[in-house]
Amino acid sequence: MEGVVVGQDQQQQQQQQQQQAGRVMVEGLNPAVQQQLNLESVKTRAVSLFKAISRILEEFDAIARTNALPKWQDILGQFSMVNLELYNIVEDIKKVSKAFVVHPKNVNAENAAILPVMLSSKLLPEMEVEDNVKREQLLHSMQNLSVASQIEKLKVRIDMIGAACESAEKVIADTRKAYFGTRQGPTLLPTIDKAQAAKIQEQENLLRTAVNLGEGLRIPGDQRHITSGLPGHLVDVLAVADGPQSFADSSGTYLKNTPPFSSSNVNSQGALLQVSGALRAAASPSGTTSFDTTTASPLQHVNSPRSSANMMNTPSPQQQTHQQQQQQQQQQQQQQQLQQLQQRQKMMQLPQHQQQLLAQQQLRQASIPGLGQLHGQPQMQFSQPLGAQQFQGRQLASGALHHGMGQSQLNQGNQLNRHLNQFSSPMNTALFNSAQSTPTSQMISNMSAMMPSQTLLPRMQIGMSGGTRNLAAANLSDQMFNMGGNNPGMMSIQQQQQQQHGTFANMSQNTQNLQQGMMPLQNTPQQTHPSFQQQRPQGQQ
Amino acid sequence: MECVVQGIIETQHVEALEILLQGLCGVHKQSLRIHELCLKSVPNLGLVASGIRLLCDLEQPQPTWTVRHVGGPMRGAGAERISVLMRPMVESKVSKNALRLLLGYKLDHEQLRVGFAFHFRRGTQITVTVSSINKILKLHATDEAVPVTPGIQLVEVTAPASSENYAEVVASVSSFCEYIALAWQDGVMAVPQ
Repeated sequence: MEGVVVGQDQQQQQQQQQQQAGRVMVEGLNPAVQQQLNLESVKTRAVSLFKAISRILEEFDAIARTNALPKWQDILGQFSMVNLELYNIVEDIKKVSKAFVVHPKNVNAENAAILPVMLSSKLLPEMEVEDNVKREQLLHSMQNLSVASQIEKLKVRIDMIGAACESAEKVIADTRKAYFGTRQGPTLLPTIDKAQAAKIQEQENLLRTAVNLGEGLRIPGDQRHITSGLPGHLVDVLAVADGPQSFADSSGTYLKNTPPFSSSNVNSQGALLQVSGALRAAASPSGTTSFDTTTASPLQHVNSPRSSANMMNTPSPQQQTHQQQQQQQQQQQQQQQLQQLQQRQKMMQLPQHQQQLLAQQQLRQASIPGLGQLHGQPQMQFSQPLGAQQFQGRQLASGALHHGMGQSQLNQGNQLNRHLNQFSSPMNTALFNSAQSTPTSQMISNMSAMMPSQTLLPRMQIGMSGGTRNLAAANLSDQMFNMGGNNPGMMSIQQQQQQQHGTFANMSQNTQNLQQGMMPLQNTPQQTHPSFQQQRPQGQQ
Repeated sequence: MECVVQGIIETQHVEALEILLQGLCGVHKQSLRIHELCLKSVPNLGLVASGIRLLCDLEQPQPTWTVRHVGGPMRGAGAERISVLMRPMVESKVSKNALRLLLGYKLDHEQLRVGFAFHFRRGTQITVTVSSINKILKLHATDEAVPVTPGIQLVEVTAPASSENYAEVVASVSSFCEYIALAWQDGVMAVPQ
């Protein structure tokens, strides 16, 4: 019953007051509070209230025992009196009891049970243990000292911690200011001046081309020998004893015959196809130039369209080394044949690769990497189809240029190429270039190697190349015709082809004839390169 | 197909990037040391030239080989709408004899990649690779490789995709790249320099 609860509360309050009064001996209630509280009077009033409530309880007991009807009006009257009395006491206590007394505002059945626990100022057992442990840690070192010194030490510690916290907060605030201050500024990143940015951009381009295209990673042919020991994972993979077609030897073959096509030139098969078509149309064997069948084979020219791009890409030192190497090998026919085959392969590889590149690059007229290596000649786009007129022009020029054949290789080749630049056909230029250089079998073999790469070009046989292989050099015959037989080898081919109405479907017939002629041509691919390069840009105009 | 985003980072910042990526991806890095051999087809092998790459993972106790073919980038209207690069890619594990068996291919160039990679899932399987590309001066001399660009390393974010789900892959890759970029900027800003 509420009255009972109220009584309990009052008892609690009284107990608390008594407890506090018990401690008064040490602490002592504030005299003013004491006066205000008027403990005595509050005590008597609480006691009388308690008595009144107990009287009501007894009455209820009696009624319950006798089962008589309670006189509700009387009981209600007593309740109201009790209520009033309680209210007065609480009011008095409220004024002064805020410091040390807590009394619940609303007590009902729910919280009656838990109230004592909540009102108790004693900690829960677990919390008490924790508290003790921490206190122990804190005061462990100072237990021997007096309380005052302990207090002082604790104060010092607290001050230090406070100072550390303040400085940390300060640092955080400063950083935050700087962060927010600069973040809204125009430059978010540390400023890099233009020179640095340009350098970084350049490096980035280097890296990207190296990763995606392999630029700058290709080892020149002459260095492609396994000099030091193979790394562990390659030892049993690479059989050094493999033939020339082995993985490792591919570079070696490059050394011998083919100019390094590492810097693949952008070569469009489409252009070559068109070129070949045009060439075929315009191909009239300009057999004015006499050439020895034993010397440079027409294959040189055949390869030139493709190799022209390739040759242009080859750096000159590589060309020179190729020259030297090729000269050394001229005396070994078998080796030459092999080399020619490899050259062709290499040539074909590169043009194909270049063609791929071109397709991917959408036939930009941007400078082609590697072309710049050649005498700084302008780089060309080989994707433009050639008109028949160009071919005819070439043929005429070929006659004129025929005199230039056999002369100093690079320079004259370049000069001639400039003349020939009007011809956009890479094949023509290649033929011219090959013709201009001293006819050697290498040239022909190179050309033949280049030609086969244009497998899309119809009816071009690479039988001429190297004389040992019947590669499907599509434009060999066409090219050779256009070049007007700059090379002796070419001339022979042209002559032979004339019988075929310009369609060189039977190049194989010529291969045998040209084999001899192709042999000595191994040393000239380099010479053709600059010329090719030059020819192309002009030709495309 | 795969979705690729390539970027660069200065070598001095690679460590910070590693820590950042570890936090973003939630996985530990995997060290990377791959000898990549790029082969080009010989003539007459087909209508068009082709190139494949042989990757030898040198980080494992036993070198493992992978053959990989990468095609040209996806082009067209669809490609222009997305900010990342999509290209066909086919990969397969092979034995060490692959090199010998690829008769129709010759070495075009080779490189050595050294770095680390994070593989995790964020909408789709994403791999972030930070590596330094080293060129091999002498044929196959992987121990004597020098970086192509000493001060810069390559950062690649790749995710496999198919033609059906490439839109989602593109979305998650590009959002992750933006995430990295923002986090990197914040990191750079927060560190007092």
